[in-house]
Amino acid sequence: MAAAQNYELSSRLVQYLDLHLTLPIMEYLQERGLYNEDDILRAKLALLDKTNMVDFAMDIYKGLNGVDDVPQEMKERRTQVVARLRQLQADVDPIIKCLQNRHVVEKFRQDKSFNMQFLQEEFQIGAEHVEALYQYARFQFNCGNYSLAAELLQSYRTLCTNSERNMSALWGKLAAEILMHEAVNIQEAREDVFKLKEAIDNQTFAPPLVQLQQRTWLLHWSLYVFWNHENGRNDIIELFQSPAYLSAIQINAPHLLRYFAVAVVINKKKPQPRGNVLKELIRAIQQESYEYSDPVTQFLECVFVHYDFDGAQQKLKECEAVLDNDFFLAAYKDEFIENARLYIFETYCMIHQSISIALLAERLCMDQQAAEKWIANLILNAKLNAKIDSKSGTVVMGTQSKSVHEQLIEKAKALAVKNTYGLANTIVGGVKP
Amino acid sequence: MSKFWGRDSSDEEEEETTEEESSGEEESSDDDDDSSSEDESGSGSSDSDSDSDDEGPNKFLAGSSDSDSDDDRRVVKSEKDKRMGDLAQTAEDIRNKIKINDWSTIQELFDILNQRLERTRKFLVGPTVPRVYLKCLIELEDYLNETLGNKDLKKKMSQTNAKAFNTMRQRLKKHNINFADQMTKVRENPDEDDEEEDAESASSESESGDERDQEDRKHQQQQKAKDKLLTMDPKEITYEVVARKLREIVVSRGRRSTDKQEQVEMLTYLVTVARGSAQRFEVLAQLTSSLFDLNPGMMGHLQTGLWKKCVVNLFEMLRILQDNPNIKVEEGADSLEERTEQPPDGAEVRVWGNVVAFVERLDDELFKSLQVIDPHTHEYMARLRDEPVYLALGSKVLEYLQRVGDTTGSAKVALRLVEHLYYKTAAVYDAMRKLTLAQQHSAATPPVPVDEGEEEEPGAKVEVLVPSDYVMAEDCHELMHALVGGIIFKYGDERTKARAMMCYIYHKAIHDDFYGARDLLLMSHLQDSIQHMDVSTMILYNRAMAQLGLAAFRAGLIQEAHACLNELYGSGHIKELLAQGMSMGKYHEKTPEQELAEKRRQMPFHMHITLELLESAYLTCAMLLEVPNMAANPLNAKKKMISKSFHRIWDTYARQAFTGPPENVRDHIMAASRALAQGDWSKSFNYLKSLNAWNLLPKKDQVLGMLKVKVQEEAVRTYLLTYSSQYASLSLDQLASMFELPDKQIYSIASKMMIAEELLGAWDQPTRTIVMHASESSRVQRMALQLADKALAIVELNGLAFSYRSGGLRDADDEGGAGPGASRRRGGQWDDEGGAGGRSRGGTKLTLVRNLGGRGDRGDRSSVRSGPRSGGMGGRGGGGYRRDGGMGGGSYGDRVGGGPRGYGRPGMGSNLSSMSALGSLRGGSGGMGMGPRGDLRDSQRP
Repeated sequence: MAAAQNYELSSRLVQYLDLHLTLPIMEYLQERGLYNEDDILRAKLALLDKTNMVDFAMDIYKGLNGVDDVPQEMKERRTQVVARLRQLQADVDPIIKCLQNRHVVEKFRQDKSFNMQFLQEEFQIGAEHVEALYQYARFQFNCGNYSLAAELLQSYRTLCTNSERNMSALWGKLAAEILMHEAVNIQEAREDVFKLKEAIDNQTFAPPLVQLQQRTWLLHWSLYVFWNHENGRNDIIELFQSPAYLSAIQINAPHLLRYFAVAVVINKKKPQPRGNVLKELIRAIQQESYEYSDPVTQFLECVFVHYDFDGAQQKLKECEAVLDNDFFLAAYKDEFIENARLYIFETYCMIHQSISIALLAERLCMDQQAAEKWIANLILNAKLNAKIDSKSGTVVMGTQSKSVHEQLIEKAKALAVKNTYGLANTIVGGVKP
Repeated sequence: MSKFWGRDSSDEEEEETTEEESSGEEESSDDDDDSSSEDESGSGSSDSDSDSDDEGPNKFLAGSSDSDSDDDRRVVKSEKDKRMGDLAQTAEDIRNKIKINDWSTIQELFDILNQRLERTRKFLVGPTVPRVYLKCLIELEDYLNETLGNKDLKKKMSQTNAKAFNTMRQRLKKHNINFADQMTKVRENPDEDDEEEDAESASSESESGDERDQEDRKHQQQQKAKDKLLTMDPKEITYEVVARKLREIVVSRGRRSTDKQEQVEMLTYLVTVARGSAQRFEVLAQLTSSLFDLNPGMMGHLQTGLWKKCVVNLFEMLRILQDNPNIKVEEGADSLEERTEQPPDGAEVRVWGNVVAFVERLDDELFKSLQVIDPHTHEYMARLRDEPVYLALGSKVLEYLQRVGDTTGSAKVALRLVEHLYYKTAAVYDAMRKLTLAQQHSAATPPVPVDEGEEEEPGAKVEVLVPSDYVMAEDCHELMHALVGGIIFKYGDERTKARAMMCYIYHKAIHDDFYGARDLLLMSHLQDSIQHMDVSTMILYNRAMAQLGLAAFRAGLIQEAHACLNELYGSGHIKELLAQGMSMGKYHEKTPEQELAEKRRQMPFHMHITLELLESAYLTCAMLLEVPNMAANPLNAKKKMISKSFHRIWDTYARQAFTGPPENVRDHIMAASRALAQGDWSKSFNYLKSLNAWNLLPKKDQVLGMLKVKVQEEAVRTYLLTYSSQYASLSLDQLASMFELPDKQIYSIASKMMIAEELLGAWDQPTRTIVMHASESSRVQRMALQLADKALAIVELNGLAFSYRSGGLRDADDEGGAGPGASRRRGGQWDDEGGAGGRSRGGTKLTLVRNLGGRGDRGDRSSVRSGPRSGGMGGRGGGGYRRDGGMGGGSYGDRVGGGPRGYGRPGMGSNLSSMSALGSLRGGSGGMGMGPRGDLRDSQRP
């Protein structure tokens, strides 16, 4: 249990998340029963205290203390919140009405200042109204009314001229979409992640530290999106391996390497230049090993750096527990284990010419029959150049080494290709401009 | 015109007085020190000894200065008589010599006479001098004039004698001006007795010694005013008087005619009579800057005594500032402002002064003196003991600055403190702390000496170290962190920040926090900007780099250590790069100015990094990396050279006809390398173990244990690489027993090599053996493969060159250049140990400052600069190609050699303009023309 808690990342993740975003994690932890339930509830309460979700907080308070009544200040706070809501609603009323009018929205153009001017002239809606809209959206978000907040922020973004505000509206929208838990929103959230990424990368004047911070946030937030999106694992690899973000991981949040690693492992089958990504990943893992290490990263190290297959097997077992407890990765456990096995096997085959099936079965945590079948399947799928020698109970790998003659011919061929096509291409390319 | 201690030939006299003064100072401090520690007093006196040795003229003083005043103070009466007697005796001697016309002896005696007078003066008051002396002077003068008139006599004199005569005449002329009044008096009534004088001196006995000293040396014109001031009853001296006097001094400061020594004395007196703390502060500030003025020049350092005086003054100033928060120190405040009234208590007063500048100056002086003093003497030790005092002062000033909210100043002072702390290991720091505590303790307990000069250092220290928040900082780390992170990074300017960062890196490195140090270095991007900083910062950078390398070495990160130390060591100028002495330049002479500048930036001895350890660590790393590498590329070991300097040594070693038993570091490493190349790990390790430098490591056993494992591992690799072709199969157990490593490790190593295709074989799992696949390819076959490789390279280059010519790929220029370099780097990492962390993060490379500026002329510099660069892709590739290409025919090889080199440059050297890159490329593709040019360039390279 202690070990499992050791590798539990939520305390690290939370630092980079929005208050609201941590709630699902908390709930998951509560379900897993890894921590004392009261502790979690208390933490939740503390969290909600800062938001406007007063009713929710009251419920938890009741549950935690086993009473039916809540303290006075909570009630007071509730009335405050409601009053503020009223006020904001009043402020924002004109602009909302206006935005609900389809005809008006249709007249909007790309140019934001034009839109503003247009609204000013037609409806006497000025900057203060737009500002109120933002405040209102934020308030709604804080109340847990995510879908409304997302909508409001969307409209706000069409009007807002301040780029900084625009950015924070985008963050808010992303958070709201994430919290709505619906497939459609996830799709939209994914787009927002890329929008944010672009926005962050384009901030030429932002101090590097701020940029780094924002990148780290984005990396964390994107976990919600990508692990719930069907194509997410590709996206996650793409995002995490881009140099700026990889260095953000290394500097600020090495624990994200776990997600990167899992994504890479389960994405094994996808045809893409995987080798490169894997190398990058392992380099990063090794560089950060003094700062962060967990069974997942250790597993990769065992397989690809130390070639310690016993160790890898051990780590794989630990990985199971770790993934089970991880909010994001629990759903991917089986896939991870399966692919990890493949990795072990592949690497193992690469450096062996004959392997006893019994041992292999042990390595792969299967019984001998199943292992034989599994290998046979692999061979059938033409992934391996190998044969099973069932008499001695071994797998014999086909030799991979090429004779010098073959090598030479191969090189010469490449040479010929380069010389003719390559040169021809450059000539054509050179003439063009 | 003040002519008394004028500039010209009477210089020596001035120095004498200074000497006397400072040695007197020493003694009084010694008195105090005696109470605290025995050592200090010994060193204090040796201080003055050596100081006086430096300055030629006062030879006897050096010997005698110690003995005099100690006694003086205690048995005044009899001493005085004795001195007077001496004086009279000398005068008598002179008289005798006059008779025999022996001028050279007279000259000597005259010197003695003056010295004796100096000593006698302590017992006299006012500008008066003993009659005996005056009489003697008169006689001398008379006789001189007489001799001058007498041509015959002059002719008779020997050459030396004549010379002495002339000098004497000059000297006397100047000398006597000062006594003109008195001499005339004596001339008028030569019979008057000495009694009056005696009485006078006796009466003044009661007054303070300082006063007397000053009065003696007073300038005639000022005599009156000063007289008035000095003879005034201290109670009568008003604010206004002091203020006026102070202004007077300030105005005259820096003028040619002013006597600095005299000013200092006057100010010292003023301090005692200043009214009000604001004024006192002002006077102290002026006094301190005047003390700094006493320094002979940029090169010399402030004498220890004066230094201590300044420290004491500063402590006093700080105390005043602390007690009187109404005093505001500003440099802009007009020090000459007319103020006649003493400001009322509590009112805000602006005074002139710059505490920060004083602190910085003190640090500089301390540094300079440590540079000059011979590190093997007690004097050096004694000087080092001043460091805690300085630290105490610094932190006190820092405290003050933070109180008044001077952020820029506090960053500066914090940096000074950091620069005193960063190189101290935990042990050294603890020792220093203990010393401080002991000093505090001993200074606090004994009865304070009653001397007036009591305000010397230990007394001051007691004051400072009592606040428990100072040095008590148990942990050097925390202190550093607070200073660097809390102050400097918040408020410092760029240079301060960079320096502090480097100090912090250094500090982390010596405390075995390699990763922390490395991350700091890489994230601060110092490697990129260091080229544009000043030389001393570059040196600091190099020092940090060296320590980083050593830290990596201790942690067993061989590659990282090698990367850090490679350029440092490979440059061949390691001494200069670390500013730890100068190596004799074989190839270029240094101008005196350069030498001087270099001398000025030397590190004091106690801050040195042991070069032998550095060399041992570097060469060991190089060996561990290079030996398997050579085994992997048996045909052309130079192709993928990791360490150039290792190869150089290796070649020399191999060329030796007879190899004796190893003596120095290089020999040991080479012997170890040779053993390692044969896979004999135990022999290799034994050679390594016998290196002396390891004794300097705090955790020697741990490091040796690490080294042993590394040697074993590399031995396995080397063995497999070298001899695998001779085996059809190799048993794991046999390997394990050969190299005494666990099965698992051997398995891991061999597997790695298989994956990297260094070892053509595979495990046969049921039998636990490695089965070799490939039969050894013949030489011709390998050559053929290489030829194919080379042909491929040429094709690529041709394509590139063509695209340059046609201008089509101008945009791809950078990509094309950087691409191979980048992938090579990555590839390289993967080849060895699967990266082992690599040495870079985010593509930045650990580089080193090569160019310390001012070394050599421009041409020289540029060649130095091109050195490391061509050590990269271009040069390395070029060399390799040319060598094997030689087999195919000379001209061909040359051409190939020229090509890649020309090509490699634009990739590596971002400084080269694309135009020149284009030019050389054209040459490369053009063919023959390129070869010789490339070679020429090669040979120019140092």
